[in-house]
Amino acid sequence: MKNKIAWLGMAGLLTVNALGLQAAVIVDFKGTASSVNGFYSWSDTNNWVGGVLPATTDNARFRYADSENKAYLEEDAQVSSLNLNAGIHAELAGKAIIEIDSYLNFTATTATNRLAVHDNIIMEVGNRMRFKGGRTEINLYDDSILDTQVSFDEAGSEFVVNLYDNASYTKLISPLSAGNISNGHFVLNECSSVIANMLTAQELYDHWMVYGTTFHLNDGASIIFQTSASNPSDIEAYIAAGYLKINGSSNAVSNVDYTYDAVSGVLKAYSGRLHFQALDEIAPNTVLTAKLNGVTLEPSPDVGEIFESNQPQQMVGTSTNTRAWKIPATLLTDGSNTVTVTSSSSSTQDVTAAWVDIMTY
Amino acid sequence: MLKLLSVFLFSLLGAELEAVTVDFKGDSTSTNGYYYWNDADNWQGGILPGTADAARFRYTDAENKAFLTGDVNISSLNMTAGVHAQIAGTGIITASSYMGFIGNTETNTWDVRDSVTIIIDNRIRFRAGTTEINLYDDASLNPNGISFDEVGSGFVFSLNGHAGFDYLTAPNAGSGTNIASGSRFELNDSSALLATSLTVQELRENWMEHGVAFYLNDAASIALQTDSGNATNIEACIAAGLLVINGSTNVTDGVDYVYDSATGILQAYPPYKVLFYSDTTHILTCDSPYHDIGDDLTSDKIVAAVDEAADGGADVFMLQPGLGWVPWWESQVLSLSNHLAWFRTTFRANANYIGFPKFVYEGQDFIQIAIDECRAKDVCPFISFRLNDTNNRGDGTFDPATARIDNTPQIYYDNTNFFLRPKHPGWPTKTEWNWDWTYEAARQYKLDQIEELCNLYDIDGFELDFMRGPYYFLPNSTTSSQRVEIITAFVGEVRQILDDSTPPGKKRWLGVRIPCFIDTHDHMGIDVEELAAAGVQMFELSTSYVFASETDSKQIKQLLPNSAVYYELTYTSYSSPGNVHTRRGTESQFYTIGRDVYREGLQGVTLFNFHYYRDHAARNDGPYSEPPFYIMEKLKDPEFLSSWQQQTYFKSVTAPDPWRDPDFLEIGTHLHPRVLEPGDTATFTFDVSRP
Repeated sequence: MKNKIAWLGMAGLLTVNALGLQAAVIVDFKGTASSVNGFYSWSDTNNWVGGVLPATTDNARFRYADSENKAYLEEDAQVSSLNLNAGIHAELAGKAIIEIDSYLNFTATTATNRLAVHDNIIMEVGNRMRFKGGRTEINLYDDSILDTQVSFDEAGSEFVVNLYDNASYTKLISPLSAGNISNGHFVLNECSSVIANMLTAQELYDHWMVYGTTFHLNDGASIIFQTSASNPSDIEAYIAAGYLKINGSSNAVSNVDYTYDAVSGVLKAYSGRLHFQALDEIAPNTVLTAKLNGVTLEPSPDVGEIFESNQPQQMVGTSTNTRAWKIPATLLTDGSNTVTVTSSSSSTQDVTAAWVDIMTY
Repeated sequence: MLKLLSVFLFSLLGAELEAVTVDFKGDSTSTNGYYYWNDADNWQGGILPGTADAARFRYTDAENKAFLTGDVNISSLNMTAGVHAQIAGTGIITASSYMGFIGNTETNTWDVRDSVTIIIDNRIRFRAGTTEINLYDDASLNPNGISFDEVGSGFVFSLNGHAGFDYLTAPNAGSGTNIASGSRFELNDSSALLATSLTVQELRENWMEHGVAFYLNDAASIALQTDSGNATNIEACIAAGLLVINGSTNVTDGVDYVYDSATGILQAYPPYKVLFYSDTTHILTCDSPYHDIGDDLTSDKIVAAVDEAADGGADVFMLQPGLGWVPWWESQVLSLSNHLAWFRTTFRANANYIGFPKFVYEGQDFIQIAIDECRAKDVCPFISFRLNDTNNRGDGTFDPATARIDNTPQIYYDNTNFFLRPKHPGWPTKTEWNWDWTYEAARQYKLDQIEELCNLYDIDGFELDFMRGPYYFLPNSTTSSQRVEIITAFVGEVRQILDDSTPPGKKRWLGVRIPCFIDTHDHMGIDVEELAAAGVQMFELSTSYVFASETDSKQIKQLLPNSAVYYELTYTSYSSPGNVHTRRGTESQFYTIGRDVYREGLQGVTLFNFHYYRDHAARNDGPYSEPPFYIMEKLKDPEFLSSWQQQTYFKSVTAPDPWRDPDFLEIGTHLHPRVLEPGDTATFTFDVSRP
């Protein structure tokens, strides 16, 4: 079957070339030739069915096995559209700009489409990203950027956009056909960001949240709004209503769990913890209390590292030897900060400190 | 044809030779793509150019690659228009007359590599057009003058590696007015331009004002005629854009470059941001991609150790050859043969070298292997020397069964009066094995080894490691000023040794590895301002074994506004007694510190013991992994670090006394244990600098 499709693709290209026409054709990516770290070179014609790169007027398409849908861009590319067939999982990596003049199309039915973008890839979509029913997952990693508007072309369009590291989703404005959204999530992790500076918080609610889209802001991630005097109170309201979750919570408090800068319109999730690790086990009847700059801190159950390490780590805190406290966003100041840790007088042990740290986003 | 005939006739008739032009046309024997100069078949007519002949390059680029295997003498060395010629190999070309370039609209390019020296007894002659002369490696160009014979004579001199231009005078006969705009000298790496007959003012008048710019990059240098006006004239030339230091005209003396008024040497300041230490022992003690624990030392392992640092982005490979007691090189100060014989007689008849001393004793030179690989990888090789190391010292030091051949020379055995005894109250037991530096002979033994290393090896810098170990005087038997006087004088002698052993026109960096806490300096005789005045340019601030997120680096930098100050990072931010628990450094720790390093005006960081993410023999402090070499590139990027969001500030609060490594008690006091009895409060301060 694949051979037939390849033959047809080649025939289409031949016909177009023979007639000297520039009509758009669909060119399917089929990574089987040269590759970089498991990703097949976009610029290698042998990684495309028919042996021809998609032209700027062509539609590039992913339709084969997941392992063949991993494209590496060594240099900038331009196509008319980029399509993912139903149930396809495609990945892009490299350091280049892919300019999509018209659409980024997801043809989902009952199977989930997934698009993962890595490294420094910038996807610029001239018209919009189109969801067509079913479930679509978009995962942006590293320093990748997705720059697009959105439409939901068919009812029951479910989506999740996950952002990690320093990835950005730019140009978030009101979607077309938002009524077709079934269940939507923007999940922003680490230092990723969504730029929605054409929308106030109220408008984000009106165009997205009210149609069933939830925004999750974790760790140091941020959303940039159009500034508005009502943004702070609107943000509080959306958190309380569960449309906006800060570090998983609907009880997040301004300047403790998040910050909102009225000048820049940046809403940023905050995460800060104090760890105190003892050399030995801390007995149940030993209660440790902590203060930062004289303010008593709220205990946190999260005694482990809050930043991932690429190296396996020894001495990760455990519930038996480590205590943790939340650090409010505004409490830690530039310069000298004083932390005190007090052992309860009812304790029956000496607690030997091994490690104390402050980690913040 | 006529030329060919003339060469033939002269030879046939045995007539007295007169100058002819002989063209190189490499198409016979060759090595690595270069055709042998001394193969007559590589010359047109099949005859080598004689002392009265002009050698000329005129054919295709591929044919213009000559390889020298010895010295040659000719009359002139010429290149026709648009030709790209290259010379490599080892030898001296002496041209009794000229080096001539016939350029017009096409660019002439001349590359000189390896150890080739070209001596021009008269001068280099440029004609209209552009000529590029690129010197690489240890190549040297020694003209007796330069003339610009036609209007619009343009040039680019590019010096790289350790290349030298010796020496630059004013253009001949006022021909500087013929120089084309855009002409320049580009000095990179550790290259050097000798212009010792010109003051800065004269360099400006004779070259710069004719449109010639001077670019001084990396650690390159220009040796000038000394003059009281040089320092201010250098500033003026920089401000005018005539002299560019590491790409910038917004540079400061003592920060971005140094001018030594005594020697007249202007040198770009160390561009190094990451200094990577290798005490070599990790090569044999760690399980690594290039070594299985138990394997013998081989040269490829040394090369691999350099490569992993270089590939990670290290600017300097700081090689520590041994402990500073028994030389790990072929030494005249203490020959390994003599030492082995003495050691066997004194301690064990069956004693033998192992590891690195064995490698050297068997005739191999691991320092040179490392330096060669550094050069190949474009990393600057430094040697770091341990001044008073007590690693592996203890009661068994002189026990015949346990005495170590790698750290027990006869001078150490014979001079127990040098030892720091009786032990100073509160100091670790091992300090009794440190030498007392009030003894001149103790210091001299170190100086002798340092001098030998500086003379033997082509290094870019030398570091005195005061951290191994940090005890030199009994505080109650010496005054602070006495201690400072001894240490400063010692460092001054090393500065002199380093200068005396440095090739003309170049300057080697001198660094010191010292504690990062100021209050530990006094007993060591360290006064950082005095050391800077004695010629130390690089200060490596160390916490010894673990790294900390707060030190006195900011205060020390304020004392050293004109010096490069570095902050030491290691593989661990906490290590309990016996290495039972080890917290290995994480990205957020490294990058938080790295960001503050640049904010405080420091030059960069050092990485010490960085290999010990790996399985380190005889320890059980895993899990292990490959070291995160990739952090080096990030640590060299202040812009990246300034935007780093994940902040980690930490206190490595060690547990019971003594501090995990008793060698460094006084540093340990800054990280003293906190034991909370019931009802107690412990206070910790964090100096935080928010993003």
